[in-house]
Amino acid sequence: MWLDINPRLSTPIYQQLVDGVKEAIAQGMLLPGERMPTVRKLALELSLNPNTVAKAYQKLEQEGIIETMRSRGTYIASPSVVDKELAHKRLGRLIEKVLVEAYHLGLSPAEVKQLVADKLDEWEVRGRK
Amino acid sequence: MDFAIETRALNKSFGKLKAIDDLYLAVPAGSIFGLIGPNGAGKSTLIQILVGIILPDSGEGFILGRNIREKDGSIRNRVGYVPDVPVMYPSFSVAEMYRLGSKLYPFWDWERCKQLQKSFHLPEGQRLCNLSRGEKVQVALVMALAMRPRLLLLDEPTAGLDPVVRRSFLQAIIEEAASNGTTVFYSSHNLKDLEQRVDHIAALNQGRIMFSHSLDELKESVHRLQLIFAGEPPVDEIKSLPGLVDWESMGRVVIITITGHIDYICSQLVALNPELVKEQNLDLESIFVAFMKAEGYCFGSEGLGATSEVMK
Repeated sequence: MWLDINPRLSTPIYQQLVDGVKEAIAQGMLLPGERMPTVRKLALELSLNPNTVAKAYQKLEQEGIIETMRSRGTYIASPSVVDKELAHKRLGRLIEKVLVEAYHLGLSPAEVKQLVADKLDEWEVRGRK
Repeated sequence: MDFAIETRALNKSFGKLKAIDDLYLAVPAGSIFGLIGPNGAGKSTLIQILVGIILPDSGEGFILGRNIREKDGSIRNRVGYVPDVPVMYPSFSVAEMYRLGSKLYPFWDWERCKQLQKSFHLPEGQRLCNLSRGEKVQVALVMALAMRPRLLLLDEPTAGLDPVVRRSFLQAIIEEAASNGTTVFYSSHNLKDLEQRVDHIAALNQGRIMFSHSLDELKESVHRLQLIFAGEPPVDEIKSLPGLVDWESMGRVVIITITGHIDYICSQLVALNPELVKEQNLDLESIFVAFMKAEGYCFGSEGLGATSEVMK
């Protein structure tokens, strides 16, 4: 299973599921139009509470990551066009968090830049496969 | 919201011992609800009151919307119960026990019974007196599910099951909840089993509810923070932090367990001027232990006196 859930983390399980699905899509493990397992199936497969899985699906649907077609199941949605300004704002906040952490870990701005560049390369290689 | 179980000001004493003490509990319909608590907290007593085996001294209780004091027991046709020590006719075979179940319960489902019997590999021809406790618990679960329950009450069901059987047992419960929307109320000491399978959790101690939350809420409202100070930590200020559950210090480092919204907590901490604040992962077991410590249920040698008092 491509989802790695650790119930013992402080992050609620539904949030781990949401993050896991988003990551899998970003890495090309799940493709737009691909069918998601049913709530029941995923709950049994991961031995998780079905209500928790349902909650994660709800969140993913709210965020436009997955789509439920009535009676035909749940599918990965095509990447949506988000307002650029909003996207920049949201990502900017996450980057600030990374920079704070980098400061406390004693990394220089140049090192952070290099790290980001390396990671981007890594992702591009994975995306092409 | 619809509740499968609701109690109001429930009380039950055995002689001088107050087993259930002014207990309020609400279990949402369709949830998998975990009940935790130390030995002797009153978990089994509560479940036995809900099933109708014992009557409360005072207070009200409702299962599936019906009063537990009702003389008419028909609602129990929809309540599956697996006690910690199943009581069954020792001379009956497993198959005979199922046949008895089919006569007792109007919604008995033979297909479901056979399917579960198959997945648990129980020896159908064997007499119950020859089965282990674990096997009897499995027979009790098969019956509790084959009767097509709307509410399932499980009293420490997985204690004493081997890992493989425990997993099939838990899977059967998840499948029941996912496929039929059955409410599951489930007491256990195995917090790891609970942590990934319940959506709500209540902790019972000395007959009272210590906390009752959705698991997500609980995880988002209890935090363990590591504080590092430049000099001597301001212990008095730390002790008077609102919502503090537990704290320990090691030199300049103080680790606190605290309830409340993380932003509010951080705003309170700024005044103490720590050099670094870091959130640590807090699993259900640590949350429970911290709350128990705050209640005076001590661990280790220094707390032996208090512990033995609780045990009595």
